[in-house]
Amino acid sequence: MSGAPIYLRRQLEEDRAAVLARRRALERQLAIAVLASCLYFVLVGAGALVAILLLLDHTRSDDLVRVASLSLAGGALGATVRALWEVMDTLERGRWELADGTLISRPLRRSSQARQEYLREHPAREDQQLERSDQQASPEEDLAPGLPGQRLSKQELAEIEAAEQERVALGLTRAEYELLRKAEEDAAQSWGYSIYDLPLLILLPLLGAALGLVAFAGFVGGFLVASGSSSPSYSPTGLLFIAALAGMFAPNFIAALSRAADAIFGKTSEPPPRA
Amino acid sequence: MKFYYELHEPELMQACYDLERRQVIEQSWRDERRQTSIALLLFVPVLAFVLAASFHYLSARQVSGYWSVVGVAVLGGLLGGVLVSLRRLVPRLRSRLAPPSFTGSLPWWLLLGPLLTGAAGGLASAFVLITQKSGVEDFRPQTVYLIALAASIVCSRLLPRSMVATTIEAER
Repeated sequence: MSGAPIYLRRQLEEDRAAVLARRRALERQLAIAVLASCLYFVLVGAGALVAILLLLDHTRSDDLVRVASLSLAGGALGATVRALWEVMDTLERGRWELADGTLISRPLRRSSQARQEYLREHPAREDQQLERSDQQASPEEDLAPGLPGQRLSKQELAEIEAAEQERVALGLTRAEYELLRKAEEDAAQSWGYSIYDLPLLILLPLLGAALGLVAFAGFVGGFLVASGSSSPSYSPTGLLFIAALAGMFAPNFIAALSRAADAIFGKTSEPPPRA
Repeated sequence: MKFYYELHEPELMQACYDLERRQVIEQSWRDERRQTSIALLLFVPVLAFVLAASFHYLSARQVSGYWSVVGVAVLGGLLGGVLVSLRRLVPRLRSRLAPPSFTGSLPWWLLLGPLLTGAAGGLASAFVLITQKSGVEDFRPQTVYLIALAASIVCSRLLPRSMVATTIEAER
């Protein structure tokens, strides 16, 4: 890079600046999306809470419109709490994904900053000496340390050679290249919170409200509470609690519904995969 | 990055090919995520409609007439279809898919398949209820709704297994 012509260096710097500007725009987009989703959850949650507070005191178990509204609001509140918790959890873990697929890991960013500060405080040693020791070691010895007697297969040697060529093409030192490979491996095994997760989070309060209604139907229909009388009585507060739980733990509730369906209609097995 | 210059060494060419393949799979998975995200967005108006109509029917003590019973049962079936569809779509969003599960376009069959099956299950349960009671009598909408919901969940299991996304973890 240092030996490159000036016009080439300028071009590279311009490209780098363009990439950074684009990435900053995508980060801003993600931050706005996260803030907007949090605002949406807070508004929906506050609305559900106010509705619950207004309805709870005056609701009798024979007033079905009010009881249904209560369970709907309870389900929405439970799902909103769950969605907000998910966003907060992701904030805490600090793993984000930009719209172009770039993974941003806050711990990685912190370690990168720490590395830069360390390198700034400790001046570089003689590069020539490092370069020579780098050249003395063969790629095979470097990448498979501690296995002196073990012979590598042709395939493994080819992979090492390909990696070495890629490292040279990227202009990285071996340590930097190892860090890059580790970041790539890390990225390949995980996903980050991105704007693609927002539709699901928007859907969650609606889904919670629907499950709250299902819990209400279960109570009123006598499926959840067995009663000998023709007009079963139930506590609206208890129904609210069940509806909130149904919204908060939607996957568990749906699995329980599935088991109940099996109990009513008998268990069916999924058809075998098509050839 | 393309490795055109390794053709003389088969193993090296294979390793380069694997590297490129990994990049392509990564990009394809991101495209799948985007498509699934759009599909989930399409569910928002559907679920809002089902919720509003369900609230209207479920807050009544009784319903009478064929169309009301069919309406309640179809709504229950549609909700079951939405639940099944979401259970199949969410793994596509949050887990690494195996390449055979990549579609490259909006997964319409994951949207419409469970919804239609759910509605059909709801209709079937309404038919059974009406014929068993032999006439237009008063039904409890809550009971009809839950029976239709359960029927739609059971019916949706009859959908082909190819509609279920295979994740990398499941493959292992």
